[in-house]
Amino acid sequence: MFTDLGHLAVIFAFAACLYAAIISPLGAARNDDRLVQSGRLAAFMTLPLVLIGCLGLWFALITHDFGVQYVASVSNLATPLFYRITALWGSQNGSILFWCLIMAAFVAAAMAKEWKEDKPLLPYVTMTMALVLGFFIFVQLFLTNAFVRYDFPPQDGRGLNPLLRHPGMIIHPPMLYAGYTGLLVPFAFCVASLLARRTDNLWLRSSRRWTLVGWAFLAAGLLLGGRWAHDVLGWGGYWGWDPSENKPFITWLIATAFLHSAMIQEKRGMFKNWNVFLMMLTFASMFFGTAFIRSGLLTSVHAFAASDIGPFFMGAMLIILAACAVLWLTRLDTLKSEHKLDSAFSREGIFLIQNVLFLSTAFTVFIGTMFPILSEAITGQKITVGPPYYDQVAGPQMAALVLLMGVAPLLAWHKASGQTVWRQMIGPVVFGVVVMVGLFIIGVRQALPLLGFGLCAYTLAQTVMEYVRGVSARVKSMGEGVPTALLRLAQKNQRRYGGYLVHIGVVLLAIGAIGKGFYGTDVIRNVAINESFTVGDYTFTYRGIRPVPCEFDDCQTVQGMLLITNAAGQTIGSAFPNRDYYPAQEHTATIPEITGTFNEEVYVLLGGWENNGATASFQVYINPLINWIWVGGIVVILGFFVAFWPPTDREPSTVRGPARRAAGAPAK
Amino acid sequence: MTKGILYHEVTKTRRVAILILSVFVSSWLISAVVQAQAPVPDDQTYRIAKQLNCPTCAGRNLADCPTETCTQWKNEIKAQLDQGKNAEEVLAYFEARFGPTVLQEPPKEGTTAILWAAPVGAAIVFFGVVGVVMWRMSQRRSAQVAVAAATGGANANAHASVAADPFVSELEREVKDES
Repeated sequence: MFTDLGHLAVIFAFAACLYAAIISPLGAARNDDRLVQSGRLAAFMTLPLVLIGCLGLWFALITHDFGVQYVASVSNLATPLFYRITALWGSQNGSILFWCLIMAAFVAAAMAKEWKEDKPLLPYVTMTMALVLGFFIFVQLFLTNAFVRYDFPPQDGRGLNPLLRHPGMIIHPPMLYAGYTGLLVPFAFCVASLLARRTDNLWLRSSRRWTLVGWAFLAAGLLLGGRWAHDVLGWGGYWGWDPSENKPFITWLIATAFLHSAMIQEKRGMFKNWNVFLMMLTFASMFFGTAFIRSGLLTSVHAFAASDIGPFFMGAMLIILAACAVLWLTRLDTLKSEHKLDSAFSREGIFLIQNVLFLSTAFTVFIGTMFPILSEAITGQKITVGPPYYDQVAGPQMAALVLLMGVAPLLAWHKASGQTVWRQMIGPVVFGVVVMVGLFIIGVRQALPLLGFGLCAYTLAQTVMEYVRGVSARVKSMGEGVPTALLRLAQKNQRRYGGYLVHIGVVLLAIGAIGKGFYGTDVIRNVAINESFTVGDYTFTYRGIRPVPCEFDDCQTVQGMLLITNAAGQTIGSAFPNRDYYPAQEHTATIPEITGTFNEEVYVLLGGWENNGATASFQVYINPLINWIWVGGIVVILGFFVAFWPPTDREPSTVRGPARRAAGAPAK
Repeated sequence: MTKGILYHEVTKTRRVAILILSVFVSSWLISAVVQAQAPVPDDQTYRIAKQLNCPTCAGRNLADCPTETCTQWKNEIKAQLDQGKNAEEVLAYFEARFGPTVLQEPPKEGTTAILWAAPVGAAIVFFGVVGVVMWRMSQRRSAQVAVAAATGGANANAHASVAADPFVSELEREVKDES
């Protein structure tokens, strides 16, 4: 009953989208604000409507209504309440509904915002958003309907995919969805500015915070996905260059390029057409990634099963690309730069280089992800592009990006002076060299990681110096104490110092990636009871296996027992990796035991056993510095919060610092 | 008294429940111990399997994949190693039999050469385009500067001498409390 009401509400939401998409541009054409406001309200109403739809499906999930096909496919009587709730996004059909909910939330938020000087954009923003949201609701209703019922309801359902029973997996998809759908907002502003022929900085000012939100959600989603792969998939690592990770990563890379080049337009009024292009590319990559993951064209550990929505998505993709191209090309003449490039050796110059690097990295990941499909289509050869490819091709480009992070902040806008830059650089360079020498002495002898760590040390020092310089400038000019100066500095320049915090997080991530990538070892050993094997400094002694109760009712768990001793023979701990077997799904999950120290993780998997545990095999990973990745990720998100936190100062946020100076107001 | 009877009944049902539960649990445990007894590859087999693609689960390497075909492949590797072949020979065998696509790292020749060349080519093109754009933009700029200088501008020199360290002065200006 409630469920059918939900179904009805989603149909209404689709109607609301159609109405908003038609009435808003009509209102703009007739210059009738009532029509525009009506479209705005209709677009806003999609949120409560889709929410009712989700509540309906939740109701069916919670009450075990196996008459609904989706409910039977993702839950059973044994599924705990928590996972019945999260099963809403546990499979294709429900997750598209959930996707619509999050997208509708962004649409409603954009509609509810205060429209001031950007009001001319409103009808077109409404139209763009309503069209895109309408598309996804259409897919939900007509291709992947989650409300379809069985004629004869089964007694019990199939249960939730065991892989999805992890807190990381519960938060990871909503985060990625929020990241993807959040980027709809700046895209809508961008399209609207072209349609309304307002090709000044209006759309950037109105949408830059939205871009940041989408970007941060994507980052968080990627990090949580990595954590999930690490904890549940038994990858031994955090990143597998899996297509489902690569697609959001590509979007994240392009969005990052956009966030930087948007600064050039704000400060210097340059590269407007480039920013429009980047925003369109961001959105296109998001749409493309969604289409590919959802259509089953890509095989991956956690893509959705093959379905027939592929051609439909591809058709929509072509229409979007064509519309964007036409819009962009017909407005090119109005997107001229206000200023000329004074020098390539300037902030804007290096940002352009950085943009290109981001795009070429994104392209590398793209071609690696797409090559298997292209190759199979053209030559019939099934090719898998494994991590070695990405490590070798994308790796150096990412290293170059780390270097740019350490150089770009030093270059002034307009034209930088080599002498000044060098004077700022010398300290951190010395620090980087000292770190390299130190590492060489303690035994890091491989050239590439040595260089990598040196680079990270340099960039880290340089970024910390940005804070030091800022604080000391304030201490000198304002006479503040150091903590106050730091706080005020960040308050007055949230985006800049939040951005630097993100840079620090990325450097920490890079340190973790280098440590794990170059010094991670893994072995697989078959041992008899009380037999030992040694990996690095650790000795593992096999003590047998035992059955243990599983966290879930529909699985059986066997636990391996290992005693860990260090090189001196002292016991430093034990490891109890699990193998969970789910008979209904015929699925085995290897749940690792993760132990060790902060700087060196010991990651143990139970591979299998023979003769009731007389012998067993274990896979042991030693992952140096991998924890730096999680810490770096947290710092990145913190940096986002610093940049995004609503400004607390009394000035209106639109005329802060740079904009005011650009407007010619003297600094007091 | 009813409470007592109820209590008695509860304990009785509980005993039955415990019995049923223990039957379930023990059968689970037995089946759990029986299942997943896949033969375990030794270390060298594992090393080689790491460099091959899994034929069934796309995107993963052979070593990490638990399917039956993968187990057969791993057994094949082990059998060949037992025959005295070395790692290169085993890899060569798989490449000869299933084509170069079986390798985790696609070869830098043949069709897959495109894969390696494309990003490099794209980067060259991207940077070429940006280089040309930058060069043209700065050419226009220097033309303007030349015109400005010709029309009389000692301003440039005066401007340069304002601050000894433009970076620091710029920073100080930016971080200054403007309120």
